[in-house]
Amino acid sequence: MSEAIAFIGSLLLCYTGLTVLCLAMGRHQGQIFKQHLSERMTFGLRTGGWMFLALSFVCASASIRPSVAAVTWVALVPVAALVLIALISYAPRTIACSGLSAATVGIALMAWTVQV
Amino acid sequence: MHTWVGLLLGWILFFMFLTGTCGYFDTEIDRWMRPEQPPVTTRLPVVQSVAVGLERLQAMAPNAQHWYVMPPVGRESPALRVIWQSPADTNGKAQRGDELLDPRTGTPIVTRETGGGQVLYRMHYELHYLPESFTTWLVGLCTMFMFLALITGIVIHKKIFKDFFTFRPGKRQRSWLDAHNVLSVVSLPFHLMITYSGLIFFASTWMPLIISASYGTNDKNRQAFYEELTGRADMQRERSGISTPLTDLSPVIAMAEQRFGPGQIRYLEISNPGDATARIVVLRLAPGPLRSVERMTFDGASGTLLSIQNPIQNMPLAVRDVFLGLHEGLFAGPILRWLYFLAGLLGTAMIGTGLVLWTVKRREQESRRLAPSFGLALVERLNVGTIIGLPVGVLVYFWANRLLPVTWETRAAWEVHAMFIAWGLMLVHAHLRTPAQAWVEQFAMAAALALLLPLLNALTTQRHLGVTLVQGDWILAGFDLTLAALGLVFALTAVKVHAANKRTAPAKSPRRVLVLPPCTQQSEST
Repeated sequence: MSEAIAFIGSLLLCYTGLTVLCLAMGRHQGQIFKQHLSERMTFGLRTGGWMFLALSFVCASASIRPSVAAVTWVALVPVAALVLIALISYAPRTIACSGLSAATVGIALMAWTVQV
Repeated sequence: MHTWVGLLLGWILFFMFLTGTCGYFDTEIDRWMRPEQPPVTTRLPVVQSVAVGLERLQAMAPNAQHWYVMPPVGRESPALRVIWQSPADTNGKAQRGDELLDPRTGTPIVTRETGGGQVLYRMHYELHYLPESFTTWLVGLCTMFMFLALITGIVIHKKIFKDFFTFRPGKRQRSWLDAHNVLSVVSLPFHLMITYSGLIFFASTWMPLIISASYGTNDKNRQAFYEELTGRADMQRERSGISTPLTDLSPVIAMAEQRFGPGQIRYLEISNPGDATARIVVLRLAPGPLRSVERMTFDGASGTLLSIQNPIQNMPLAVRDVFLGLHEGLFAGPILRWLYFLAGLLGTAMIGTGLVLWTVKRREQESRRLAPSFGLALVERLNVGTIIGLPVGVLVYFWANRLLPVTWETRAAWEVHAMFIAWGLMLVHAHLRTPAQAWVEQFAMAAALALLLPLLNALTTQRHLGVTLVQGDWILAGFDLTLAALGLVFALTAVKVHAANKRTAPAKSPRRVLVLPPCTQQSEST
C-alpha cells in the first residue's frame, strides 16, 4: 500500500515538475499566458521544475530499493509527460490549475511516505 | 537512412514490440489461457511444497541428471512446478519433463494444451514458423537497425528538449511527425535500453569468434564457456554410481530463507539426485534489475553448505546482467510491470506512427498524381494489415484458446495457426478495400473481438468476471478488464477514423485526407 502511495505521489510531483519546466519555455508561455514571461521568472520556473523532479525521485525511492526505484521513476516520466502533452494540446487553460493541484496532493503524499 | 530503414524493417519491429509487450504479462496470460488451473489462495510454507515436489520427481524420474523445483512464490511460478532432465539415452535423445502440481497433494494439474503467454513472449525474438538459425540473424539484424534508427532519429530531430511538449493536432503531416517524435522522446530511455539490451542478447551469435579464440569453436567448448561464465560447472559432474539418499531439505531451505528472506527462493536445482555426487543449488528471486542472483550450493548427501556465490562475479558480466535484467523486467512488481507494459505499447505506437508518417509524407509528395504509386499503395495496405491486423491476430489467438475443443491434441499449435491465419486474412482484407475503409473495419473488428472476449470467457469457463471479481482473483479479472478497455480504445478509434473519412469524402477537402488517407479516393472521383 505504502508503495502505491509513494508511486502516486512521485507521479504527481513529476507531473508538477514537467508542468513548471514547460511553463519556462517561450513557446508554451505564449500558449498558456498569451505572453512571454520575464527572463528572471523563466529562470525561476526552470529551477523550480527541476526541483520538483528531484522531489519526485526522492518520493519514489522512499519505500523501495534504490535500483527498482530508479527504474520505476524513469518509467513513470512518460506517463506524466503524455498527460501533460495531451492537456497542453487540447486544453491549455487547465495547465495552471492541474499543476497546482498535482503539486499540493503530491507534496502531501510525499510527506506521508517519508514520515512512514 | 532513418526513413528507409524504418520502413523496411518497421513491420517486423512492430511485430517484435507488440508480442514482446504482451510478454511482460506472460505468466498472467498463461493463467488466463489455462482456466482449469486453480488460483493460489493460501501460501504454503516453501518447505512443504518442495517436499511435495521432490516426492513427485522421485516417482517420475529417480535417475534424472537434474531436478528443478519451483515453489509457488510470486508471479513467475503461480503453481508448484517441477522439471526433470535425464541424460541422453542410447538414441542420443535427452528426456525432459515439466509439470504443474497441486502444492498440497502433489497431483499434476491437468489443463488444456496451450502455448499460453510464453508463445507470444517467445515470438518476439524467435518469430514463428521459421528456422532458428535464420530468425536469430533476422531478429538480430532488426535490433541492430532499430538501434541505428534510434540514433539517427535523435540526430535528425535535434530539438529534442525544445519540442519535448509539442504536439500540434489536426495538421496532417505535422501532427503525425509530432506524435512520432513525442512517443519516441518521452520514452527514449526505455527505447534505448530495450534495444541495446536486445543487442546484448545476440552478442554471442554475432561475435562468436571472441569466445572461440579462448575456448575453441565447437558447441561443447562454447557450452564450457557459458558454464564457466555462470559458475555452473560444478553442476555438470559425472555420476559416481554410489547411491546415497538425498539429505533432508528442511535445514537447507531454512538456511536459504534466513539469508534471502521468507518466500524469496526462486527455485532449487538438484543435480545427480540419489547419488553420492549430488549437489543442491538454491537460487534467490531477483530483487532488482541485476539479473544474476545469489545462489547457495549445498552437498546433496550431507546437506552442508559448500559455497555462497555472489551475484556479481565480475564487472563486465554484472553490467551485461543489469541490461538483460532491465530488458526482461522479472523483478518488477505490479506497478512497475504496468509501466513496462505501457512503455512497450509506446514503443509499438512509435513504430506504428513512423510507418503511417511515411505514407502521409509520400501522399503529400504525390498529391498531384491521379492514383497513388504502387509503392505507396502497398505500404498503406501493409500498414493497415499489420498495425491493426496483428492485434486482431493476437485477439484471435485468445479466442481460439476458448473455442478449440479442449480434448483436441494439436490445439496448442492450432491456436497459433489461428493467429497467423487471422493476420493473413487482415492483410488480404486490407488489399481488397481502400485503406480508409480498411482502417475503420479492422479497428471495428479488433474492438468487437476484444470487447466480446470477457463475454466468451464467461460462456466457456467458470473463471469469468462474475467469479474472479468476487474472489479477488485479480490476474484473471485484470486480463478481462484490460481487454475490455483495449476494446473501447479500438472502438473509439474506429468511430473517429470513420468520422474523419466521412468529412473528407463528400467535400474532397485535402485537410483530412492526409490524416488517414483513403487511397483510391481520387481515382474514384475522377
